[in-house]
Amino acid sequence: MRKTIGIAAFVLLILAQLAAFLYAPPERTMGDVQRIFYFHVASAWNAFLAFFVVFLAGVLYLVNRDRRLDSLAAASAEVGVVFTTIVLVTGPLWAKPVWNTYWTWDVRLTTTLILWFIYVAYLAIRAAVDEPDQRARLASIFGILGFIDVPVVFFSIRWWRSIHPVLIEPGSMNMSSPMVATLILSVVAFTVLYVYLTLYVRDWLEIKEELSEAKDRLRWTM
Amino acid sequence: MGFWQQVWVVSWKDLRAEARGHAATANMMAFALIIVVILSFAFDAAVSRQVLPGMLWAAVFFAGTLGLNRSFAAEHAEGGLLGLLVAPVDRAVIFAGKLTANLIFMFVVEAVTIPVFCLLGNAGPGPAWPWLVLLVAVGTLGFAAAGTVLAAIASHARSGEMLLPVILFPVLVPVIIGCVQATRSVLGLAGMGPYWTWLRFLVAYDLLFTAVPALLFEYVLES
Repeated sequence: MRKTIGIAAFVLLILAQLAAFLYAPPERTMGDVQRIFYFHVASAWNAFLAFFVVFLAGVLYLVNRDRRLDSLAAASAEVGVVFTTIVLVTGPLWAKPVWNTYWTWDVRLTTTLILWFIYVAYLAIRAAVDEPDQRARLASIFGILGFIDVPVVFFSIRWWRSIHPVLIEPGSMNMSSPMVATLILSVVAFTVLYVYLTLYVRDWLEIKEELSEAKDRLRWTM
Repeated sequence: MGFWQQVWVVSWKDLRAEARGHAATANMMAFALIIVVILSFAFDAAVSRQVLPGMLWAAVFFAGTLGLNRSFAAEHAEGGLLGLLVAPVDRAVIFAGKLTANLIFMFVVEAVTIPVFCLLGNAGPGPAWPWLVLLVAVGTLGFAAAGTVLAAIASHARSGEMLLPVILFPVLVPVIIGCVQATRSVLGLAGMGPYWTWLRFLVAYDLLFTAVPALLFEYVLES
């Protein structure tokens, strides 16, 4: 099952690359640099999906205490942080030639940055608690608090920016239908990749957990 | 005992422990003041008036994490948490009690440091001081509410006092922005219009971050 998803992700990603570089036309004003957009948006969508899964798995874990839900949340958070990092790297690379600056305290940029900090904090909690049940419980709680904080962060930054002068207005693009098709393909490919990576990390975390429990048993019998 | 009476018993315990020489508030005050002094070195006098609100809240909130760390770490050290857990009260009472105690510590620190800060920065709210008091009350509640639940989480972790700032400040971003922007209005750097927008926003944050942690607190204290 996981292997099939992996192969599907691989094929779809190759198709998405081909579409982004060959099929989609260059954007009228931004030119070729705009092609990074297909990977940027696809990563951003998956980052949000990943953190929604962390939230949902956290709520469900607190209700029925299935350790597999916690492994899923942990895996999703790790993959989500990777996707958020991709967003934060591709964004400035795109912004420099188009806006003539790597960074601006725009609401979407700033919210993404804070999102990254929140989920790095989530991983920090997991790393700092040793006992598995306690780690699962505390991480679930933080996963819930962090997720409900994200819209609040978004609005606070939006109002903050509305008071300060906005230097750059991230305008909308007029997308032709090949561009829309490429974007959809890219989002689908990245989503399948997200599912594959999350399942992979989840299984790996579960094996790691089993191993450490087996080691504990061994220590007691000796 | 009614809900608020129970809450008061829990926070009174923390206040007494502090009065008997834990000296957390004294350390917080000293730390807040030294942060203000260091930030004054960092910024030129010409720009420091513009960044004054940011300096104020950075100092108060950074210093506040010292007190939050003590709030639950001290319980673990002396086995006091067990005493709290066997007390026949709802977990939300323990959260509210800890929150009240942390809030009082913060108010004590702010009552000393904010006037000194205005003095050093050569700025003040003038006749707008009641609005500053209101803002400090509302903003500090948001800080203490998020801080109390996250300090409880951090206290279960290895080197939790290092973990707390890392998990607390990303969640606090809305409070920091709100407090800084509203303080600009109070200090005359902006009109009073934004003040009310931000105050309402902070009240919404306070409600969200007292209600949700109160509901989740029984899971935090489970062991």
